[in-house]
Amino acid sequence: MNIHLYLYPQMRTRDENKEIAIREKAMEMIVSDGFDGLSMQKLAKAAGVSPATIYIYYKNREDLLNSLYNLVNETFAEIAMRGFDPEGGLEKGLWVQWKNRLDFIIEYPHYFKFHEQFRNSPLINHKDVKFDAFKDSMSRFVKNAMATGEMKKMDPELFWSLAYGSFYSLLKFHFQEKTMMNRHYKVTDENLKQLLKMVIAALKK
Amino acid sequence: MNTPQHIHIFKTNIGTHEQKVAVLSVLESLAEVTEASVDLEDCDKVLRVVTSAGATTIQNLLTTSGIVCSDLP
Repeated sequence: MNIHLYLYPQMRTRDENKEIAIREKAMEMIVSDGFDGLSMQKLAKAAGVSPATIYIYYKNREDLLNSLYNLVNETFAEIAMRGFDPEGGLEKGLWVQWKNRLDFIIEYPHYFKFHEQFRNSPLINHKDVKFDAFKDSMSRFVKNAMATGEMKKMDPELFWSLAYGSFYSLLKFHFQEKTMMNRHYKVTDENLKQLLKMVIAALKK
Repeated sequence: MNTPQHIHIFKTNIGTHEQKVAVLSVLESLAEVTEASVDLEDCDKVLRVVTSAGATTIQNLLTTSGIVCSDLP
C-alpha cells in the first residue's frame, strides 16, 4: 500500500473520494431542496454510497450542515486571500477582494448560494476557528486604511455596506434575468472599476 | 488516544428521546467509548459509536439494556 502511494502521489484513497462525493452531493441537494428536504437515506442514494458510509463522516443532518458551512467559509477565505495584502492600500486591496470574491462565485456557485441560505440559520454553530484568520486580515485592512487616512472612521457595518454591499448588489443584477430597468446587466471590469472609484471617494476622509 | 478507534454504525429500535438519553449515558460511561450519538430523525434510528471496543461488545451491551441493534446496511 505504501509503494502504491509513492508511485501515484496524486491518487486519493477510496474513502477520500467517497467523502468528497457525499459532501458535494449534499451541498447540491441542500441548495436545491433545502435542509428539510434532505435525509441521510436520500443523500446516500444520490451519492451512490450506503447510509452507513454517510454516518462514518457525519453524526446527523445538523452535523453535516455545519461541516458544509465550515467548508464554504474555508474555501471562501482561501480564495479571498489570494494575492491580498492588508497593508497594501485601500483601493488596491478592495479591488483584489472584489475580483477574488467574484472568482469564488464563479468557481463555486453552489457554495455561494449555500452561504446565502444559511448564514442566518439557527442551525449553524458559528465556531469555525479557521475563519478567524480571514476575519483578522480584513480587520487589519480596515485599521490600516484608517491609519493612513485613506478612509474616515466609521462603524464596520457602514464600511461593509459601502465597500462590499455595493459590490454584491451589482453582482445580483448580473445573475438576474432582468434588472429593475427591465434589461439584462453584465458585470465587467469596466463597470466594476467605475463602482470602485465611487466607493473609494465615498470612504475618503 | 493511542488505542485505535473504530466507528460503528448500527440500526436500532431506539424510539424515544428518553431511551436515547439512557443509551448514550450507558455508552459514555465506558472508558473505551470516545463518542456516541443517536440520530432519531433517521428511520433507522442510527447509533454511531466511536470506540476502541469491537462492534459485538457494543451490541451486547445494548441488548442487555433492552435495545435491539443490527448492522446498518
